[in-house]
Amino acid sequence: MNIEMKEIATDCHHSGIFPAPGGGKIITDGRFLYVTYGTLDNHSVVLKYDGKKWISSRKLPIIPPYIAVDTKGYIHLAGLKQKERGNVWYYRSSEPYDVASVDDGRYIHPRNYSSMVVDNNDDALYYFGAGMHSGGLGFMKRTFDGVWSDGTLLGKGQIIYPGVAIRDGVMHLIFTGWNPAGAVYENVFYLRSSDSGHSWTRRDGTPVPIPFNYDSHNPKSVEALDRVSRSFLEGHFDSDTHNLQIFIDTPGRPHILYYYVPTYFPRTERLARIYNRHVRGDSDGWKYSLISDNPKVDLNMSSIVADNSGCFHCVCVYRTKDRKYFNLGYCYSDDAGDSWSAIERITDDADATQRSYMYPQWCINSFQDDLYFICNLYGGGTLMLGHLPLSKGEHS
Amino acid sequence: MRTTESPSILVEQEYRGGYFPHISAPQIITRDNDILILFNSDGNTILYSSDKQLKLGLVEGARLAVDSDGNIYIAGGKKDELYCLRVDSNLASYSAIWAAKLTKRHPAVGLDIEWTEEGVVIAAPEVERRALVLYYPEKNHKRLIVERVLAHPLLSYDRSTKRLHLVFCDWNDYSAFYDVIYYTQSNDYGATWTKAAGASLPLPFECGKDGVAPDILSGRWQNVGAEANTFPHCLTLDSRGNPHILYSFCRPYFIAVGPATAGVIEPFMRTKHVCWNGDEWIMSELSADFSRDVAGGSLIVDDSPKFYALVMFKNPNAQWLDLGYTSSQDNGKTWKPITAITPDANSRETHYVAPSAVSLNSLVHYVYTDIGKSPGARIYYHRTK
Repeated sequence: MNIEMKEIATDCHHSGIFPAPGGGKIITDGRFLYVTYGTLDNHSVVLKYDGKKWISSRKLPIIPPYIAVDTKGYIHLAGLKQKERGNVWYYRSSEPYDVASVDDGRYIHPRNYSSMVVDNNDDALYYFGAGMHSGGLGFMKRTFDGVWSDGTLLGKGQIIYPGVAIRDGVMHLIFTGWNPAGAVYENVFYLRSSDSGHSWTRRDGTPVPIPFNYDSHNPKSVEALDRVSRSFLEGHFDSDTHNLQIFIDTPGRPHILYYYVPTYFPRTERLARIYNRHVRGDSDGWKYSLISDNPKVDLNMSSIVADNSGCFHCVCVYRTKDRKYFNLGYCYSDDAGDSWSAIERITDDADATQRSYMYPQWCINSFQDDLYFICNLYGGGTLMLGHLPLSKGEHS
Repeated sequence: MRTTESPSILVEQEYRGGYFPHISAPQIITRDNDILILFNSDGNTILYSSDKQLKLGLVEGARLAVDSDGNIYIAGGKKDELYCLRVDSNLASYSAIWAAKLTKRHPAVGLDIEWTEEGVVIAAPEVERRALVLYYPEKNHKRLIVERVLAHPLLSYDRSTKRLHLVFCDWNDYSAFYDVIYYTQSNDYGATWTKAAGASLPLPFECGKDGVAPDILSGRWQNVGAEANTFPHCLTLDSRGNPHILYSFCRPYFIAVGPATAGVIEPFMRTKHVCWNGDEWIMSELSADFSRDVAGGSLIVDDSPKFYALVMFKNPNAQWLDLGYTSSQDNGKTWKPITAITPDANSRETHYVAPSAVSLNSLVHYVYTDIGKSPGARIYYHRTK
């Protein structure tokens, strides 16, 4: 592992790359690498990188931002507009690949947790939102000619953090439930659609009637959905389950990451304070692993990507028992996530600076044959780009 | 509070595992000038008085109550059955007075029993229906209390005011957490229920509806900050008949991330005392030291304004829970630092758990058990001097 870290901005907001299970912070169209982040003054910018130099957009009045790029090179952005109590606004570049040509935007949706993706088959843009302000989970579609559909309600209830990915025409969607009484996340769910969102199924193809009603205290409503996270019913204590990422591999299998805080009760074994679970959707069911099962390692957040050889790379923020703050770490899997290598340290200065690294997110495609990720620091300021060279075969 | 030099070990049994969180919990109550202790041991439920003991066969999740003549009632279950035993006052014999078929039992939720002048009342969950039901064994009658809540109940009856108090929390299989703590009271043995301030509640309770739900005792996101995994350990009444509750809770995000948020690292479990003073609910936290876990316990409030709480606690970086106590001189508004009772949880690699305490003739009597790496668990009895 030879990961190079580089500071690419100094004005990143604490929540400037706030977790987005569908990504939407760092993306490549093959020609350029794009990074979007929220700034300390509650705006957002887009950075474009050609491998040598960075070009920045003007500041947009949204935070946090989400980015997608279509096959023609048009840049799509969405985020919460700060001066409209957080309504979702949408922006688009008027010229391909041109971050300087982003338009003045338009309102598209009430306040939401967001995810956005382009279907490369027809360059349609899908915006997914979930949250208490919208009363559940839904999506809107923008065709390439600029026409937005009405919203489609997928489910009602306490649902947040949608994350969407499209590969080979199949739309994969994850989301999590929210318990406001305890302020905890409950359950992680998966849905897929092969007809542009007209109908939805479980991973195994079983139809899921839309719109569904979600109530975590009603087992029938939970079991009507494709629950990915583990539960007490299966002998697990995965509490406060926060979905972190959905990633689709080359064969089309969904890989889902979520963190959980194990329920405390007096046990005879020591546990870490927080774990990251990897879940892979195989033809015969969901397969589970832990990114780290070391009880002396608290694993806060992680992100995965696969290279062309099929090796899965994971970047994470973690804390060993002798540390107070979270450093960046790296591990990999040569068996599609069935097992993970021990975490190797990328950074070692979190305790010295008293600042934890946060929100690591891979660009899910390689750029100029290498892999890149971003992360920021607690409290804001620094935005960093991590570079994992693959072209020299140095990843492991 | 001074304790005797070493506790009596009532029994040693084969057991190894976790304490979650009330399984095999011993219970102690008073009966006139005596104490009664109930616990499970190696396939038997054993009832102790100061000079006798009686084996009852296995009664899972057993809880006990005493009537005005000194007769003892024990509620519990086995497999798919819930039943009530009546033990004669001299602990010579017992018989089943009632049984009901339940479709399913659940390891995370228990039951409770209380005696009133109208007879014995059992509060128990109907698991598949996710409901809490009151059973009246002597009348072969039952009453649905709440639906859509898989409730863990505690009952307490005040003989002077003839008021029945009920505390319960929900359990969520998916998040593996207890959820929200509710309180309600009845002046007619459970036929009708009110909030503490007197507002009537419809039956069954609608816990999800503000205004018609029972009092919510645990902290909510909107006010004091969210409290998760809220579990009521103890419901007891003071000399005026006002309810006092100890409950534990946690805040998962702060457990997980701790100082990354530039705040203090939080313990896995914290414990609060909440009581009704006749006008409003008063809440306090048993330990202000957030480097220390306080994982619930048992409360003694019959010597107002001085209260005691026996608690499970552990120090920073420790893995194992010791037993300790704290006290309040101001009716539970503030609490002194915790004093250890057991000294050796970490050296023994054992949790001391499930304290149950009563006061009798100005002495505190308490029982607890242990769960450790080594096979075998003990039931301890101890008292102050």
